[in-house]
Amino acid sequence: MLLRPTDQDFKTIAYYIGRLIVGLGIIFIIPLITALIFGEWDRAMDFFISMLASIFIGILLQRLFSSHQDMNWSQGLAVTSISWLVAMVLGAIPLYLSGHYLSYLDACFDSMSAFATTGLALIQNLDHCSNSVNMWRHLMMFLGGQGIVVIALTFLIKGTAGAYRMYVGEAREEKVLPNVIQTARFIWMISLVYLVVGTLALTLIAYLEGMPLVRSFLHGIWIFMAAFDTGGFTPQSQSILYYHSFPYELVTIVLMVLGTLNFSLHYALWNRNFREFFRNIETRTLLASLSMLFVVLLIGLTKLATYPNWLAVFRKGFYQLISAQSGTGYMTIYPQQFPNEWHTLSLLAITIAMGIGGSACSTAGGIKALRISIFCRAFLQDIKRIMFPGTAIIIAKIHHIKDLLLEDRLVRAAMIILTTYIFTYLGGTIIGVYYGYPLANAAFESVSAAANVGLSTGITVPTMPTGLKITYIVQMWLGRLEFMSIFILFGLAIARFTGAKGRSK
Amino acid sequence: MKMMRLSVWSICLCLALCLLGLSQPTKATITSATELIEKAALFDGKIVQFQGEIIGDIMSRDQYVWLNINDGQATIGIWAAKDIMPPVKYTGEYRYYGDTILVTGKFHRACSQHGGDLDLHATEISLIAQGHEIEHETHNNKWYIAGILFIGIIALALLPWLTSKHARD
Repeated sequence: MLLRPTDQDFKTIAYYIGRLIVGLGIIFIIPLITALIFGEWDRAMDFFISMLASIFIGILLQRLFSSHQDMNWSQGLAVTSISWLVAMVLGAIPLYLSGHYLSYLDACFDSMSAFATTGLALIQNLDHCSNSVNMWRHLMMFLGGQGIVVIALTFLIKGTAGAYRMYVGEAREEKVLPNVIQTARFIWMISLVYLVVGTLALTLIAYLEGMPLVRSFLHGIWIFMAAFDTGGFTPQSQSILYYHSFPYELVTIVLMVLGTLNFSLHYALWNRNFREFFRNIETRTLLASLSMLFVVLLIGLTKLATYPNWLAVFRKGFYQLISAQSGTGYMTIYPQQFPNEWHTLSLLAITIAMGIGGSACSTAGGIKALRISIFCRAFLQDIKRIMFPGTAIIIAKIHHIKDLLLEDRLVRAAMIILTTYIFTYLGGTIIGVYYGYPLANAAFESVSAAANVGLSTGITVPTMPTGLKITYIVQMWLGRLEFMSIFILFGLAIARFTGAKGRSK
Repeated sequence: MKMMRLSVWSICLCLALCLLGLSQPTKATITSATELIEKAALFDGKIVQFQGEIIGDIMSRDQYVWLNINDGQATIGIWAAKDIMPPVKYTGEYRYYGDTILVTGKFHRACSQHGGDLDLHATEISLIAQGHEIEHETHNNKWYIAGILFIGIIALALLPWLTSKHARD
């Protein structure tokens, strides 16, 4: 029986959202300082207003709905799903004020794209964008990749059961360490270490490739944030093609791969458990999927003789594939080149790679390699059940950090998310086709949005239909949070009117 | 006989003119970035002219430079020898509108020298217009909004203290 949420439930939700908003407001200080350092006074004012607005709304919610209750499951998940929408709206304030957007909806699109680490963008005149706005765009990706709730858990909210529920709501059901706060702090620690190393590597290469030192550093930190968090924003309109540098592309490949690995695997590797990398079912699935899809992609590229040599095939073909599979969306070609110069087979390979995505408990999007491997194992197990004698007991195991028995419960959970992703991909494709785009392009863009990738065939432009912009925003939101917390939110709204009276636990 | 010799000479002259015409490079026309990207196969290997604003950085690579030119529609990478570069004062970024240049060069849909990049190898570059500084003014309304929000935050922060004081009184 569905229980009707009480006023206290909504008060608790609003209170914790208020706390998260104050946290977001404080983070505006980073682009604000950037604007002051580079003398971008107008942009500094935009960030000051955004900071004040967030803190004001956050404190107002806390004052109006003061609550000292810990969150139950539905409240924790609802807080997470609403927080992402609120973060989108507040994060869009400085973007819109910068004058680079046609409408507030466009700014919200980019804000959601950043927080969800998608990388699709509607910004105009990006090449004349200020350092502070670029800092904010990339910082949103970094925060979104780590998880807005992970940040809150680290700095704002004590380690309660409710905290864990919010953490789960952000599509991070795995705890790397026994305690959720320790897990959140480990995620931050590992990310900050990579931030320093990755930024230094990118800065050095850009400097050696002819960029001034300060710009090399700024581009280094931004590209790192968007690569490791598999986001895909860049400070220039040509994406990674701007740098015309093979070493730069190689470093971004390494960062994209690191970003797509499970944080539990990072933890194992940090503890010198290198065997885990080769034994883990996720890394095996990722390698198998990448290899097979690269062959398909190669057949397509060879058929049309798209590239003149193997180096070009690697820098254009393999790069787009790894960018797609990791969910980053960095490009070394122009979006229009996908439909115009690539064979449909190659486009299909990229679309499937985007759909599959990276590892669970990473910053990558998509269905996730773990779920694909569970599905494949379960499929094989069922075939064996049919073929083997009826008395035979078929037991299947997978290795993911530890050996896991392939139970029906595990398969069911994986299948629900897998099917929901496929329906989301299909939904976006149908809407794209409705607006008059070719099927292949509409499917490509829809998967790119829902799997939080950011590769584009050129559909995502400021002049695209408003309905499609809203569709992609919803897809990005659904895809990043992996549905459950959003469904719970809708469930709460429905229960408010149809549920039976009683205290929800 | 004289007539015949004249005819032979005329034919030779015509042939020479034709050969001379064929050996000339394809006549260049100013092409937009969108055309170059969307009809890349059509322009592949042709001499084209492309005009636009220099964006971001001029990246030095030995005797050459990479620069990126935006014509208002999209940005194309230009590979140019240093000695054909005109003096550049501004490149496009937040503070500046970059110098506008006209580039003549060979277009590549997928350049074999540069890992398959869609690029233009410049043979001639001329400065069309110098860039300029971009003014960024802060609108007064932003100050008012910030002021109101700041007062609001102070009021909210003081609210518990005020209510408890009121209760005590």
